[in-house]
Amino acid sequence: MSDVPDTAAGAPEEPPESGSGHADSPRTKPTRHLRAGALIGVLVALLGFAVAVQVHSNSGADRLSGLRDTDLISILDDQNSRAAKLREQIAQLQATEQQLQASGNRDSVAQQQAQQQVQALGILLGTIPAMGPGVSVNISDPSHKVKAEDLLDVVEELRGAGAEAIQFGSVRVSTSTSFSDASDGSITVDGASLRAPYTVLAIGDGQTLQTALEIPGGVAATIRADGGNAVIAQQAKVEITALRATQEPKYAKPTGR
Amino acid sequence: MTSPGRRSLNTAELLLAELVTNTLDPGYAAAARRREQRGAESSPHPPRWHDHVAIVVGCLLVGFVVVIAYVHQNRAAPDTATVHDALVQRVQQVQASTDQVAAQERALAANVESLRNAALGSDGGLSAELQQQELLAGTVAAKGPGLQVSLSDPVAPTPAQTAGRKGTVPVGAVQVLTDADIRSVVNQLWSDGAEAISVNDVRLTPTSAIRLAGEAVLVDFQPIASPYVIRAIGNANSLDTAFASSSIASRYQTLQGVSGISFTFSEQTSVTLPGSSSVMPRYAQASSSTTPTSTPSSSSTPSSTGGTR
Amino acid sequence: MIAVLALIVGVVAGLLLKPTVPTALEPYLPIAVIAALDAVFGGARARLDGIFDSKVFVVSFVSNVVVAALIVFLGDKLGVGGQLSTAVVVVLGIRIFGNAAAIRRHLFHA
Repeated sequence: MSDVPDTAAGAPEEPPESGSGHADSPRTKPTRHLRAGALIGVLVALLGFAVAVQVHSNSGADRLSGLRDTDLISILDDQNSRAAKLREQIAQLQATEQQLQASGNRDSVAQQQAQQQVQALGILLGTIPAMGPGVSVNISDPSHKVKAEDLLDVVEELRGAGAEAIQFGSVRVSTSTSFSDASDGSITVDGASLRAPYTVLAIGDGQTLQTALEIPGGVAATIRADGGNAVIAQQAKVEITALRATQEPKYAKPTGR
Repeated sequence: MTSPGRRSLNTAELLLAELVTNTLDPGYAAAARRREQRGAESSPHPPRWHDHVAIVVGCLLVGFVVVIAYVHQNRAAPDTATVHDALVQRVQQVQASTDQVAAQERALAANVESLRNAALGSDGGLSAELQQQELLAGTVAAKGPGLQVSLSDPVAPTPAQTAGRKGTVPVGAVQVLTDADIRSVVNQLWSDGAEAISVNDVRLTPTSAIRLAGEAVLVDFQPIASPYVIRAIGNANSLDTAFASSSIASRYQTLQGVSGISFTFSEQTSVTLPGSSSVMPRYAQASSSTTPTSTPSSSSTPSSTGGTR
Repeated sequence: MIAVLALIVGVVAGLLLKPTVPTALEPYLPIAVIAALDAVFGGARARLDGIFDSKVFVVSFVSNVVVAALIVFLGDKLGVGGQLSTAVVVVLGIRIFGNAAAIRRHLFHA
């Protein structure tokens, strides 16, 4: 009438499948056990592998699959621009490599390359003055509500839009520039005390920089919400003259690439 | 085998046992019994015409219903899941290829550097200056003692808005932390004297920004996810002390109690930060300004450049 | 066999007609599908057991769908529609597995 299924949940015990009987000769029994054991081992290994793969893929994909489509598109945009930048650098490096590899006055070529590199990094780190197209931003704060966080936002937004050199007031901004609120209402930037209104200079693609600051809900909007104002002007030539002292890292050591 | 001891089972167990053992519609058994009672016609009784019709109608209905459901599902799908999945795949692909390009760039840069060092050989000063700058700018991997700060979103077993199979409840994380939180921590670490910082193994350079794209945190254009691990190299002891007594640390410790995020930081005897791809200015040039004004920051002599380079 | 042919015809008809499911009936679609699968597996197993009856086949399918839909509809009105739908799917799923196991035993003696 009714069959006993294999997967019976609860009381009914499953009778052992009596296919071939237990009357095996002693010779075949161990090999059967061996084969069965090996098969079980393989299946369990596959199971473990599948579980591991699933967990791994879930943790990776979840992060992206949880985002909205608009976010994904903007990430795509960013990745593409990053790739474009990298390709430009690769082209430059390949040219440099060729020059270095070409026989001839290798020493002087290498020196020239090294000095160019030093200069480029100097611009980025803030140890030498720089100039180029960019923007100048005038931030006023009559209600004294603009905080260090908002100004840090300005710098981050500029960096994100490709600013290569930034001067905040009289301070040259670099990787390790920090902003903090002082108790008397002023802002401390890398140890220097500044008060509103602030003038920020940035070198980069003027249009991109201005757009980045002015996006709806962005930093300019936040500053205006705080009762201040941010006036952004594109300029064909921005001169950044503030410098940072060269630091000597005392704890960080290179490990090679 | 009929279940022995059936009478000793209580109703609930009986129901469950019944559910799992008697999976065939009892109608068949009843019909078979009826046929036996009616007449001992041996097994293949002549199939009557309405038997065929019934089978045909039944199977038609079954096939039809299944296909309707399939068509319905796939009609709705393009509007939502398929487009989204395609986008996710595309982002993953582009990320993978960009990572490859970045790796290529790093290898090339390393090659150029070794060629240059080999050629420079004698001029130790220039090479050393370059290396130091590269260390500060984040284009070479760095190692040293320091601090590790860890921030993570709470993981809540609530149905998140993630795309999943219909009928499942995916476990998603609630997003409480944003780029502003990571920025505050990084800002504090710089202020406390860190010399190099990385966020989720992305090194911070003079041009890297920590931003938010909708709900995803991007560091230097690379999307990262909770848990956020921020590593800094510096004087481990003073970093730890300064950070522990900062308003940032107390803010996140409070937040830990309130919204369930996790916030920890600990001294490290040695952290290794990866290098990032080289950054080259494309708009900025060195200016030949003859009156450079130096910042009043804590340091020794400001560097001065003479003439044009 | 006629049954398989009829199945294929049903599938083709569905693909050609591509009917739109009215939104009111949408929540009952998964139940209908599972009931359909249950009827097919049950019929196949009864055939292999030798007790197949065509009337039972059709009536069980239709009545399962109708009763299950009614239960879920009632549940919707009471606010437990989702859970009841899950319960119906679970029960029918168990039956499908049981019948599939029996079919497997008939076919493969394993």
